[in-house]
Amino acid sequence: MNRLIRLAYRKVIDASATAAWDRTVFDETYRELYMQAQRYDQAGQYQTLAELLAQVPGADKLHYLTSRAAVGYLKQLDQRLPDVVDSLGSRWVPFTEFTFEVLASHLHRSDAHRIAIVFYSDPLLWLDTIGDQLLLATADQQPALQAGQFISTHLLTLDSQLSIWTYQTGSRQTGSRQTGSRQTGSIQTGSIQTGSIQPESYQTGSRQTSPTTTL
Amino acid sequence: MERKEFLKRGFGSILGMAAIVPVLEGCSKSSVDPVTTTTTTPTTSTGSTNGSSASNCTVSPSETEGPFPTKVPASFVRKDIRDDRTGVAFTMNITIKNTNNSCAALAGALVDVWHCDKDGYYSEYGGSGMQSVNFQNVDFLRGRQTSDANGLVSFTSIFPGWYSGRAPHIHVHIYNAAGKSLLVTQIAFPYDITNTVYTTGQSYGYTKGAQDTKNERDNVFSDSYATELATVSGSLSAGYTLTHTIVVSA
Repeated sequence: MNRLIRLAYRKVIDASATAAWDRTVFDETYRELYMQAQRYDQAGQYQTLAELLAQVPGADKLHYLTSRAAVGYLKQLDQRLPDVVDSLGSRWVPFTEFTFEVLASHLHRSDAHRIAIVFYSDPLLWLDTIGDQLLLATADQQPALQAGQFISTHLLTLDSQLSIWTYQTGSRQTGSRQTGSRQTGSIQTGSIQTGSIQPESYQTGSRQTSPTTTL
Repeated sequence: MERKEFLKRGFGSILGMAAIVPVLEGCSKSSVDPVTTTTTTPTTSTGSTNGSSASNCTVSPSETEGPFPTKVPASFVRKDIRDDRTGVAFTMNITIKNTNNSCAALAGALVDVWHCDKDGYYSEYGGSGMQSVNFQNVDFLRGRQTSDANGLVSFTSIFPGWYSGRAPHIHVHIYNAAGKSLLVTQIAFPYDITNTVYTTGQSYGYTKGAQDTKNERDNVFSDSYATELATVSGSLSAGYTLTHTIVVSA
């Protein structure tokens, strides 16, 4: 039986960042946070994000307002999770959704700035588990899989910041599994009998979908 | 494989990662302040201890060449702030002047503007909630421009609507080139213009009718809005142009 999952990868960026992309996102989000935070504290009473969040109504919008400085760089990832590579070293896990949070910051000390971006993968087929690695394929290959065609797969190891976020079995009967014909990089599943499969993933996390709010 | 079995293994592998956690914490504490790195005080940042013992010996991950960032202006750095919002055409010409320089034009100032759409809604997508890299329209009616040699910034937008309890307004935040805040303010509208749009602009989507709060009763403008009142001219069909000067202390 194959299952649909979505992975979540949490990437924390702080002053220790050295990779070019991380460093740029760090610098740009710090500058934007600094700029936007002044709007919530025009008298300059507070030094830290924690103080602003505790003392100033509406300051929680700083997460969103700061995230806008990162979006251009998130687009440069070409909708592939950063850092997460398969066993062949390829960065392939597709994503479109993310959450952005400023974990901590200080308006006069950039070294206190820390952000977390959680990337949520698009749905993936979890075909098998080999050792400590998951055999995964992009969910758009499901029809090909059902039609008995070769599909391209990836082996991936879960990490401390990489987890399975949603899981869906799909209500269906599985037929006999032909495992002997597995080949490197692809799996032949011609004998799998598939029933109805729900294309949407089962979702456990909370999400906000309201596109607009009034200030 | 059964899910149960995987979970057992999965948790095992996650617990195995616990050995790395102290290393990560070590890194996060070794703050690399761009200022302090220039001092001569020697500092030590503890790196990975992987490979130091038989139980701490995982194959080092291969690293693909990460995406190399191209410096991009944020999406809100733009003159046309409409995105998908519709309404009566609206141009804002805002001039920034410096009271510390005999009210001469202030060039190089960063000017943020934001206002609500024709129905009274602001763009604020999700707070820290889920966002999508594909969304083009989450930042509607927000923009940033840098003032030119004449202190001028211009934005192309739609005539803002109103929401209950506030007179129509434009938010403006002005910073110096280094990002330091110089002024947070709002621009008020002449009532005759807004009333025309809200009571006769139904075909442009302004269907809420007359605003419920005039400038005189507005909790922001009521003290005195003489210097915050914009000059607005135009018509529904030709669009409106707002002209306003904001004086800052820079």
